[in-house]
Amino acid sequence: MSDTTNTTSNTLRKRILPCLDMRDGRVVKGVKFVGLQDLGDPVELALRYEQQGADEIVLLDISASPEGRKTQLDVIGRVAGNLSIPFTVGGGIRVLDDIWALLDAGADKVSINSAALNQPGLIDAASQQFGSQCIVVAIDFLLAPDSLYEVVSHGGRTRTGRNTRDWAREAVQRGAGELLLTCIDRDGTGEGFELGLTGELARTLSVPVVASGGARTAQHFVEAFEQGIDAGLAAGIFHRNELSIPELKLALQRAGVDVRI
Amino acid sequence: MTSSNSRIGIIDTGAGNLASLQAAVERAGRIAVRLKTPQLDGIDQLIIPGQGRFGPVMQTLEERQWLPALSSWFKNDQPLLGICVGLQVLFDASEEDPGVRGLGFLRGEVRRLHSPKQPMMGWAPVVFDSGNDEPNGDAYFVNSFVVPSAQEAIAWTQYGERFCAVVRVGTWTACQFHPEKSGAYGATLLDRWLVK
Repeated sequence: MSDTTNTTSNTLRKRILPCLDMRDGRVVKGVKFVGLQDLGDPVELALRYEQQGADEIVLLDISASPEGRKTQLDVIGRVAGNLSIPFTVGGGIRVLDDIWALLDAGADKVSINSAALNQPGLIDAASQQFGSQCIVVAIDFLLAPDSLYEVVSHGGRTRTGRNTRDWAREAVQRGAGELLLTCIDRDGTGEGFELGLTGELARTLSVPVVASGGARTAQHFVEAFEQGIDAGLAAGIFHRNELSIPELKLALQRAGVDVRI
Repeated sequence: MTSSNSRIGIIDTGAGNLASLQAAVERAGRIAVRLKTPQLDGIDQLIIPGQGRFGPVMQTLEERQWLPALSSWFKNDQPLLGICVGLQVLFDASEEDPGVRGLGFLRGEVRRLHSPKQPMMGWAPVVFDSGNDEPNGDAYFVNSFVVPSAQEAIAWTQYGERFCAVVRVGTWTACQFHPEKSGAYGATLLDRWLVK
């Protein structure tokens, strides 16, 4: 046995997750706007991010039609066959069979949002059947002035009246293996991640917490990781080349954040 | 990456998707063959993949007649690679499923990992003992259980506590992490660990 443990750490590396919005088998941007711009093939883009040092990839399916969702399963198979880092697939999951189909196609994890709110037992069933490690519960929330941190569903369109803190705890108790927290008020603003609630949940819950929404600079990621947040997700800044993953990771390393280089 | 005609048999333990592992073996230039039962003609190396939990994987291995096949594979020192739960089942037993006997090729017990968060999920450094001709690097782990210590350990990782990252006995190598999900580092290890 060796005693040379000085190069190992007691924590996992902080993760950087680029997110690809996928519609009918293509990566698109401009979700909130009318004109969707085609950014290309999901496999090519995912591979490019892998080569740049992404720690995981998140594929969010925003297909409007059943045909689009079938195309998505082909895409997931191709991503699984080409990518050598883990990837999570979210969007449009309603029942246990949807989860099975995505995992069977090769996804490492699935992300459930509205369906978990409508039917919380889905989290229990999915984690028992497939293991907590592949069940991510995504929570979109508002920075309400009264600090309720209200959960919203259906892409931020529907208010639920639920408190994010309570829902996050319930999701973990039911078997979620990771939480993906998106602050809707910050999404697309470039003002930085929401740090208060997201940091608190990352420090107090027993599962990893991913922050999403609002990141524009390396400093935004540094701040999130200083709050104990386990991973940072972003889309537009990476797609538009405003911040490249290699320069982000270098900046994080310089700031003393434990990242995989 | 080298290319060779070696045939790598991936044991289908019925516990999950093998597409990523199969693709990683093929990217390493080897031929991947999925095996439900021990059809070992022309197979140069076996992989016990990293999907599923201890008890059900052992049950499937037993039902599909793998126990005698693996025993003679071990006795003849024919190459094998174990990944994640595929490392764990090489040992005697696991806290994950008490009462279930492991393959028992290696002495020791699998225990719950006392880590800051469960399951352990993410990238962590793998550090080989000095004297091993293997590169250190960051690998991707997904597990709640580990082997804390073993005679055959050659590399270590720490998350909450220190545990075996890689064990080796003869031509058998097993790792607690997922090389098929560990980017370029994982591909390097697979290329070294899969027979040429």
